[in-house]
Parts: sequence; C-alpha cells; structure tokens
Amino acid sequence: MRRAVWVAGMLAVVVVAASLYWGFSQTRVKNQLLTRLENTYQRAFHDLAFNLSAIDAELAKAAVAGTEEQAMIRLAAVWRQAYVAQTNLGQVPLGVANLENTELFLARIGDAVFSIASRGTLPTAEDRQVLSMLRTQARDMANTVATVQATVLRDNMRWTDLEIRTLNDRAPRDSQVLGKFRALEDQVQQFPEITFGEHVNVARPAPLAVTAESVSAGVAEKTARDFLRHLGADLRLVSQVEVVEAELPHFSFVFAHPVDANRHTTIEVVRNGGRVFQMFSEREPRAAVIEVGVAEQRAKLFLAERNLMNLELLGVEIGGNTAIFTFCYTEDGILFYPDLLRVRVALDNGEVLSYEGNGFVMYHRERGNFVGQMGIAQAKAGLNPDLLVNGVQRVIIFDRQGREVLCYEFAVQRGTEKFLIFINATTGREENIVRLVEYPQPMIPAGIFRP
Amino acid sequence: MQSKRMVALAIALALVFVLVVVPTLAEAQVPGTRNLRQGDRGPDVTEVQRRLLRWGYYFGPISSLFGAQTLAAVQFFQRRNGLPITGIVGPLTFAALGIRAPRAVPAPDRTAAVTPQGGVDRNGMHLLARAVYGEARGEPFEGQVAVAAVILNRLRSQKFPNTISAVIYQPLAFTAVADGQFYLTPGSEAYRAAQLAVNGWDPSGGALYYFNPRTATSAWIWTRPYIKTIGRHRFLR
Repeated sequence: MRRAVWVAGMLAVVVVAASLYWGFSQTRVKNQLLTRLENTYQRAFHDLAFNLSAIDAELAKAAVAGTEEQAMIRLAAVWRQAYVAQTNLGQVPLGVANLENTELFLARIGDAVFSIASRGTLPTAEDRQVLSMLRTQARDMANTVATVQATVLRDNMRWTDLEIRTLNDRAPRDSQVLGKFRALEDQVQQFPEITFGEHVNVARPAPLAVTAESVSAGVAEKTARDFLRHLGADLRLVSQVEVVEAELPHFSFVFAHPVDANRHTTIEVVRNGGRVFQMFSEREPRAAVIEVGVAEQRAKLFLAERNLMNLELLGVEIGGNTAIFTFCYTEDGILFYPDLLRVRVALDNGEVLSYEGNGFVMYHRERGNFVGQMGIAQAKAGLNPDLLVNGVQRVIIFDRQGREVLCYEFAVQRGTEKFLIFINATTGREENIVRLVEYPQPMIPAGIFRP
Repeated sequence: MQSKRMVALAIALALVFVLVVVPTLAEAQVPGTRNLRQGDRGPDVTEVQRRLLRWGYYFGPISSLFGAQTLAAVQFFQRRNGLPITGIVGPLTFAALGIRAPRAVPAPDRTAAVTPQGGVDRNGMHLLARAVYGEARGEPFEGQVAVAAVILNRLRSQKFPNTISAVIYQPLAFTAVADGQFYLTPGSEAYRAAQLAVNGWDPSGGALYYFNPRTATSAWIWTRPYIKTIGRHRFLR
C-alpha cells in the first residue's frame, strides 16, 4: 500500500516535471518564432524610414542637378526608392485602411518622377515646381516617420503586439505608433493636389460613353427583362437594388428562372443611359457535348439578337464545361479594343450563362473618324529591325494618358516569342509592347486595354 | 416577317458554311483542321505529341504517328482537363491543347492583350485561387469571382502594394491568410473564379474591401461607401 503511494507520487513528479519541461520548450519555440516575425516587421519599418529620407535627399539633389545625366540618375533613384517604400509600407502590420493615402502618395511620387525622367531632358520650369512641391511633402512625411522610428526605438515597441491586438480587435487607441500613422494619413490627404500636366499615367480612363440621362428603375427593369428573353417571358423579380457608389452607378436585378425557381440570374443596368453591362446566370454546366464552333455561333447570335453587332472575336477560353468568348467592336477594319465584351457559353446545352460588357458600356459611342497620317511602311520603319513581322492591322487603344489613339498593331516574332507592338499612326510613337502568352496556360495579361 | 425569315435562313446557311464547308476546305495537315485518331499520321500529330510531351502527359517519341502511347496520353489529358474521354483529338481537345483551327478562331489570340489587369502570372493564379478558396468557398460563384476581383482591384489601385503576393500577404489584410486557411488546396471552382477575374470580370463593381457582417468586428469597415452584397459578403469602396 505504502509502496503504491510512493510509486504514484514518483510518477506524478515525473509527469509534472515532463510537462513543465514541455511547456517551457513550447514557450521558447513560440517566442523564437514571434521574435523572427517581429524582426521582419522591424526590418520593413526601418527600411521604410530609410526609403523616405532617401527620397527626400535624392529629390534635393535632382533639384540642383545641372546636367541631364545627373538629373536622370537622381530621378531614377527617387523612382526606385518610392517603389521599395511602397513594398515596405505594405509589410508593416498597421491595417490596410490606415495606409491607403500614404501608399497613394508614394505611388504619385513614383509616377511623377518617372514621367519627368522618361522624357530624357532636363526638368522644365514646370517640372521643377512639381518636384519642389513633392519634396516639401516628402520631407514632411519622412520627418513624421522618423519621429515614429524614434518612439519605436526608445520604447522597444513591438509590431507583433500591435498586430495581435488588432487581430483580436483590441487595437490600443492610445498606441502612439498607430496614432502617428493615422496622423500621417490625414497629413498626406491634406497635401495640395499636384497637377502633373500631360505626363502622368491614368489608372483607368473615365467612362466616356456614359454621359446620357439617367433612366428610371422601371425602364431599367424593362431593359433587363428584354435582355433576358432567352430565359422566357415570365421571369419573377426576386430583388432590385440601386447601387450608387460603384464606378458605374447601376440597378442590380435578380430574377428567378421560370422553371427552376432556385436558379437565379443577376443582371445589372447602368443608370446613365440604361445599357446592360453584366449578367450572370447561376448554373453548373454538365459535361461538355457542344463543340466550340457551335458555342461561338450561339454567342454571336445572342449578341446580334441584342443589337450588338460589328464585333470581332479576339479569343476563346475553355474550362469548367464553358467557353468564354471575348469580342471587341470593329468599324472600317479598325479594331476598337476599349469596346470590349465577353460572353460565357455553357458547353452542355449552349446556353449563354453570362455576359460582361464593362468596356463596351463605358467606351462604345459614336466617335469621330480616326485618320492616321502615317502609312504602314512608314510605321514599320519605326520597329526594331530584328523582328519578324507576321501581320499588321489598325486598332484603337488607350495611350499612357488615357486618350484613344489610332495605332498600327504589328504582330511580331523574335525567335519563338510573340509580341504585339503598337505604333501610333499619327505620331509614330511606340505606344505599347504586349507579349503574347500561349493558351491554355493561365494568361499573362499585359494589358493594352489599360493605358 | 418575310425579311426576318430571310435573315434566319441566311444565318442558318452561314452556320452550315462555317461548320461544314470551311473545315473540309482547309488543308488536312494544318493542326486543328481535322480530327486525329489512332493510326493517323502527319505534322498535326507531331504538334499534338509535342504539346503533350511538354506538359508531361506523353512519354513516347515524337514520331508523327498516332500510336497506342499517343492514345493513352490523349485520354490522360482529356481526363485531367474535364473533356469527354474519347481518345480522339477533336475541336475541344485541340482548343484545350491551345491549337486553333485557322478559320474557327482568329490567331493570334489577343485576349491576353486586351485583358484589363496586369501582373498575374501562372503562380500568381495559384495564390489568387487560394485566397478565393480560403476567403469565399461556399459563397455563390459570382461572390467568389468578386473576392478575386477585389484582390485585383487592390493590385491595380495605387493605394495598395504593387504585386499580387504583396497584396495577398499584406499583414491584417485577409483573415484566411492570417489564420492559415489560405494554405488549403483550392478546388477547381476557385481556380475558375480567379481566372475569370483575371480576364476582367468584376461582379464587385470596383470594390476594394469586403466583409462578412456576421463575423466582422472592426467598426471602421462600416464607415466605407457600400457597393453591394453578394452572398454573405458586403462589398465596399
């Protein structure tokens, strides 16, 4: 009996000792990992502070540079530092909403110096004004972050603490660091808007075609029902919302399928002008039995019945028992790449499942005539002589300023790699180079649609 | 009424022409212009073998003869890509192999060129699909596309980092990344949603944020301009 108690006691001691040891080693491992995570955050933050002061310094040097060579070197340095600063800012755990304006400002600096440097001349008087304004702002920003940096160093502030508390939504309201970054956001937002003039990249051109009068919800619903006539006449309206805050304010309708009430179709009609810009029908297609050529005809018929004509097929993607056809508008042999639309056809019964016409609705309109002053031969002379030219056609694309321009699109080849090169038919400028990636690998969309 | 009938007749005739006449006019040796089955020979067989070899479906010699090994490889390819397993290389299989009949679809394929988002490569697609699966599996399909679109909208926006990985791995940006659900293996639906979003479909209406009102705890999220609700997610500017 006594012996049994003794053995049990020993066992208990061993178990307690073992679990203590295990617990300590677990804590040690956890702390090691936390420290490593902390180190990456600290690295990103201190790098960011360095990038900001480097931007300030290089802008200062660019302002006093007297030769094109030095000006270019300094502006390129600013551009590089601004890019890295954006990356580093994105790695600091402050919460995405607390960084928006600061990210935006860094991107603007990058854009401005890039566009000035890419002209390859000394900055003009106007450029200098932009640069000196940017410098004032960059210096303010660098100073703010430098004081945060001092606080972080002095108080041994840990980013991981802040992150864990934010994740549990116990973000410390009194956190000096968070407070200072929020103040920085406000500060950046109050920077006066800089007009970069001609030479800045436009994120996305304004929807030029959406200028007409607003339509009422009733008219929009009629348009929607008309568009969905392939589903039958007696569609039941499930819900209707007017979406005001979107890029394109629109009405969003959900209809129930006449036979299968659980099957819904969403359709969206732009408020201004009342055109349908997207439609999707929720259905999982069964095994594919229809050939792509037939599906293509279905897609074209669907578009023609909705008065969408003069469309050129640009490509098709197949997957998940559906085929997606991409079209753009064409007139007088010119392809209008901005006027883009897509139709997704089920390969089990040929039904059109979705329609997406963002580009078409935003940019398709009556345009003036595009006349290029250059002939093909003259434009071709501007190409790199090493290229094998497989074909050429006239197209409309957006240039870097977001204006529609007429270009010669040269389909070229260098070795086995294929490219499209766009030469402006008026100015001869090489507007864009797009590398073509072979289907069916996931595409690498280089985007001539975007300026 | 009469003219409508004429139009219908014209469309039907055009259809017959495209589907029946054009393929027979085309030269049989150009890849994609005839169906290939066991026993066939020609440069088009070579092209099919070359592609199957490159993607790891075929291990035999490049011989221009459609033999048993080629047949097995074609069936393997069809099975893996959700095509009818016929062992015959028809239009669907040609398309999946990236071989286009010269008349059926114009070449070069310019979808890549006109697609609005840049900066997503093959592995970027995997990341995107994982994010969709981790964040939005079980949501309606367009809700999944919308989540992918939000990530791409962030990539495009100057207010967020510049690469797909930096957007996805931004600390505190996505809960699925924070809690590890991101590392689950995504299903094919997530991939399809990601692909559609990359190709420019944005059901979110240009949203930069979304949240699930039942699980979201942050107060600030309610202060952003609301766009729309899809499934359980509210999408915001």
